[in-house]
Amino acid sequence: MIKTYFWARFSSKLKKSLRSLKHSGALTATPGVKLINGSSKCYMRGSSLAIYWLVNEESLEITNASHITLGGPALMAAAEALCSLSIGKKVAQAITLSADDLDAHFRSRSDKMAFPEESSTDLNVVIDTLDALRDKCGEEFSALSSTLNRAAPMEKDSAKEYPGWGALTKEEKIAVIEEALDKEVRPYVSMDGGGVEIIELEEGDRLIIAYQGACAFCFAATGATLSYIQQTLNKNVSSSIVVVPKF
Amino acid sequence: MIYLDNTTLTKPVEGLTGDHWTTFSTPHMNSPALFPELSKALNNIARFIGFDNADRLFFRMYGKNIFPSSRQAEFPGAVHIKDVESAIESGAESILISYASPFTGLLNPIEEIKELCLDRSILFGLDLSLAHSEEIIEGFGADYIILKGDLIHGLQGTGIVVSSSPIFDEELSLPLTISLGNAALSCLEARGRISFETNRLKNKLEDAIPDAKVLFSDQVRIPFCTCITIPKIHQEGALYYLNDASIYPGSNLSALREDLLNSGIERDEIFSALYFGLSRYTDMKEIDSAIEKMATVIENLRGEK
Repeated sequence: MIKTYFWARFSSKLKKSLRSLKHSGALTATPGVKLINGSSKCYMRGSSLAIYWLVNEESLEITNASHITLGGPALMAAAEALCSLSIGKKVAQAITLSADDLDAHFRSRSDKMAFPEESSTDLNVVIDTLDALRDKCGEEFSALSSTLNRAAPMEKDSAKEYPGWGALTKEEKIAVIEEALDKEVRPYVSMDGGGVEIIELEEGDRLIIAYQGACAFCFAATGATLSYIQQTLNKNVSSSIVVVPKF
Repeated sequence: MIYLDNTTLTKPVEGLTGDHWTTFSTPHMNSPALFPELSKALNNIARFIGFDNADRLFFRMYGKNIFPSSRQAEFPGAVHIKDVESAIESGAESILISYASPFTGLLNPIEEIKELCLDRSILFGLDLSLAHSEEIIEGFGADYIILKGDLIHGLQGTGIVVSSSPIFDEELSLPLTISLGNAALSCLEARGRISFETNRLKNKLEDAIPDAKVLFSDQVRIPFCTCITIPKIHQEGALYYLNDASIYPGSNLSALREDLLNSGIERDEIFSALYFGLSRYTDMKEIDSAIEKMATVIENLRGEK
C-alpha cells in the first residue's frame, strides 16, 4: 500500500500544536521552586532533547515545564505533550507517563494514533529524557529517591519465581519462557509490528533472543524493549534470567 | 508555493503531456499526428544534450535512482578519481557518473573518469540532467548520456538513456517521451537564465540566511544548487516548518546526509544542513519571500521569538 510521508499522517491536534509551540525554551528557578532538567540524544538522527521542570520543593508538584528540542516535528510534538502533561502533576505521577500517554494527548480520533509508527524513535527519545528526569528528581528530592529509582533490583517478594525452576531441564525452561513471552511480551511488541524469538538458553540462564520485524530496526530494542523483556522474565519466571539480544 | 528543490520533482512544465494527450489517445487521430509529435520530442531531447538531431541516436527509457553521489575524496565534496578507480570491479562494463552533485552542486571529475574508462575499455556514461549550458555539454564524448526527467522539470519517474551507437535500442513510451521532450525544450529555452540570473538569486539566498554557512563555496559548483548549514537548527524541524510556510527546499535528507558524511563534513553540521535547487521558475520575488520566511522559521526553532 502506498503511504504518504509520516508528517502528513500526524493527527490534526498534533499539527495544530506544532504551529504554536507553548513550551519551547528554557526555564529558571525561583525561591522555593527547584529547576530539574533531563536530556537525551539520538545519535542516528542527530537529534537531542532537554526537558526542564520547575518543581515546588514542598509539594513536589511540577509548576511549569519546557523543552529545548533539536530534531524533527515528531520529537518537538512529543516534547510538547510531555510538558503539557507534566504541568500540575506531582513528580511521582509525571515520571509514570508513557509513550501511550503522549500519543493519547494528541489523538484527534480514539481509533487512530496521533504519532504514526515512524515516530517511535522520537517517542523513545522523550521517554529516555523522562528517565533522566526521574533520576535527577531522585537525587534532588530525598523523599522521592526510593519511589523513583526504577533501576533498583526487584524485591524478591514481588517476583513470582516459577516453582522448581532450578530443577527444570533446558527444554522445560524454554517452554516456560515461551509461555511468559506469549503472555506478557509478544502481544505488546506485535502492536508495533515486531516480534521476539528465543535463539538459545545458555548456562546460567543466559537467554539469547532475536528480534523480528520492526523490533529488528528499532532503537528501543536495546533499551526500553530489552529492559521490559528482562524485567518481565525476572518477575514472572526467574530472577536468574539474563536476556541478551543477538543482532 | 515556492519550489527550491530542483533535485526532486519540482514544478513540472505546464502542459507537459496533457496538451499532447489527444494526439495519441484518440484513435481517429492516431497515425497521422503521432510520429511528428514523437519526432519533435526526440529532437528536443537530442538538442538538449548537444546533438543536432535525433536521427542517429538510440534511446532507452530510464526510471528512477540513477544518481551516483559524491564519495570520499581528497578534498571535500568532490568525487576523486582514485575512489572511482578502486570501486571498479572485475567484469565492470560501464561507469555512470553525474555531471554534478544534486545536493552540493559540486562538479565531478568528468574528463578524468572518461580517461579511466578508455584505459579500462569500459563504457563511459554521463548523467547530464544537471548540466546547464551548451559549452559544458559539448565535447564530453560519453558513450551514452542519461537524462532524468524530474531534474529538468519533467515528470517524476521519466528519463532516457541516449547513445550514438546501438548499445541500447528499445521501444519508447510515447507519453513519457513526449513529456520529456517538452521538458527538454523548456530547459533549452531557459539556459541563459539558468546560468546567470539563477546564480545571482542563489547568491542572494546564500548571503541572506542568518548565520548560514555555505558548504563548498570555495569550489566550482553549478549555478543553481547550494547546500547550507544553519547552526542550532535541525534539518528535519526546519524542513517541516518551511514546508508549512509553503517553502520547499530539497527533501531527500537521508541522501544528503550520506553525501555530506562521505565528503568529510562533521556529523553535527550534517544534521543542520539543507539544500536548495533553484530553477528557471525561481524569481526575485520568490527568493525575497523565502528569505523572509526562513528567518522567521529559524528564529522560532531557536526559541528567539
